[in-house]
Amino acid sequence: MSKFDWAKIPELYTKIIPSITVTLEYVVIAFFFGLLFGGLLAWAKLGKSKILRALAYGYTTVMRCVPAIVLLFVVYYGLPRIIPIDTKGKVKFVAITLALFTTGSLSEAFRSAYQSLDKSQAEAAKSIGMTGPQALWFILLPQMIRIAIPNICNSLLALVKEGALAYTIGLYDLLGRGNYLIGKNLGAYVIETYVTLVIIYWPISLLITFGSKRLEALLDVSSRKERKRSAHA
Amino acid sequence: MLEIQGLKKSFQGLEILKGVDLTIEKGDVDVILGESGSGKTTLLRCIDFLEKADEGKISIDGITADFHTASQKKQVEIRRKMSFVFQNYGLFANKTALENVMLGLTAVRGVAKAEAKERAEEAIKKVGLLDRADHYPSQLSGGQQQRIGIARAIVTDPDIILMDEPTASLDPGLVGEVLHTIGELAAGGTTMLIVTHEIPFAQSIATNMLFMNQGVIIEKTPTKEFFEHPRREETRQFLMKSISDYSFVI
Repeated sequence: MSKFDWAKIPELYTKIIPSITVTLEYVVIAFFFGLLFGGLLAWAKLGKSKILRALAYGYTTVMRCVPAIVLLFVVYYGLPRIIPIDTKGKVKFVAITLALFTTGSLSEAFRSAYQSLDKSQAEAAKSIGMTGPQALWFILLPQMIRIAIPNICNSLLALVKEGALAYTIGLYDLLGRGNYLIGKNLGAYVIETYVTLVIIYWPISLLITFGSKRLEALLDVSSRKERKRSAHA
Repeated sequence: MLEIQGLKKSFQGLEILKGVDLTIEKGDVDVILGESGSGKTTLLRCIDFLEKADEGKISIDGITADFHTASQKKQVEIRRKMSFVFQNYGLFANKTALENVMLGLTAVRGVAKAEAKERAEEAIKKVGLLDRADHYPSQLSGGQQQRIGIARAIVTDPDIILMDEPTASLDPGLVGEVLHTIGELAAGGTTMLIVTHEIPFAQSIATNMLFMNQGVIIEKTPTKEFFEHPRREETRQFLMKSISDYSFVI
């Protein structure tokens, strides 16, 4: 067994890191559509229509019960049979799969945030004459987002990590590129390659976690004020 | 000015309001008394469309609507003629006191920011909290929060303010400041419909006293007469129970 070669890591790093754009591409696209459809799904779950509610909960349950890799194969091999879609750009299949997945979990983040709000907030908004959309925009959403941030952050982290499954359909994202290099090196430097991937993935996740903590603190208006005041004292 | 006819409301088959009729004249301060569970709070909430009534009509400032069938648009239109002061203050947690008071002007009525700020500060000044205008609700005492709630209610110049037990959630020591603020509004001619258990306070500010019993208003009497010669036996019983040294003339 060969010795672990630390010196190899910088070289592998520079070869793998350009593929981060691929990883970020499917993460950002999936996250965007996840937020959009997750919001719609949460609206359906909280709404009066029994049919929409059942559909929304049904969707979430189904998505929870399917392994991500199975869904990826269903989308990748199944979708082109249903709709005319170019199979060459593989990144879109990954983005679609992840969006389908994250929609369910984000809808739960929004729903639970909405339900945790004190009922008085919506009523007070109505009482000063706000319409439903006005109440949502000025009062409810800003409070919901702060409450939902930790769960949204978890969904985003899951996207980054589950996205690594993309290599199974031959996409050259970070992991895909790493695997390609292993093949190219005829199986040499396997551990070095994966350690390099750890070094790349780790700061991404740290950054997301840190960013969400900052955002949460920023939106927590009352504590921000208190901190400012105690700084004066 | 505000007229309610035949207001009925049931919760899960239990009839809380059994046909309430009510008229309030401009400039009057009418106080509703009644046992817990007699429907006082539900009545106020139905009037402001916070609860959907089963039957009844409302007419305010020339607008008439059916409580049960009024469209969302109509509900909003009527709500904008009224203000509501909540038992639990209901201040927006993510807004400062000033923003709480301003929002009804800027976001709802399209008043320019500078003018809204001026009017909001004036309202906050009236409740004596101008030095707290930049505080968030979590940094204010209960009494201060309720006074901001009152400022938020008056800033839009509503036709009537509905107050649902405005001092019931407060520590005893903080009740006085809120009652004082409401008393000043009454003296200034603000039309109000107030549910409260503070009987001496009601006696000092009310134009008329209303007594609610089992889902109906059974009497509406000018305040002095209400306490001296209550018309109904139920009212008499209630007053005797509520006021230790109460005596009335038959």
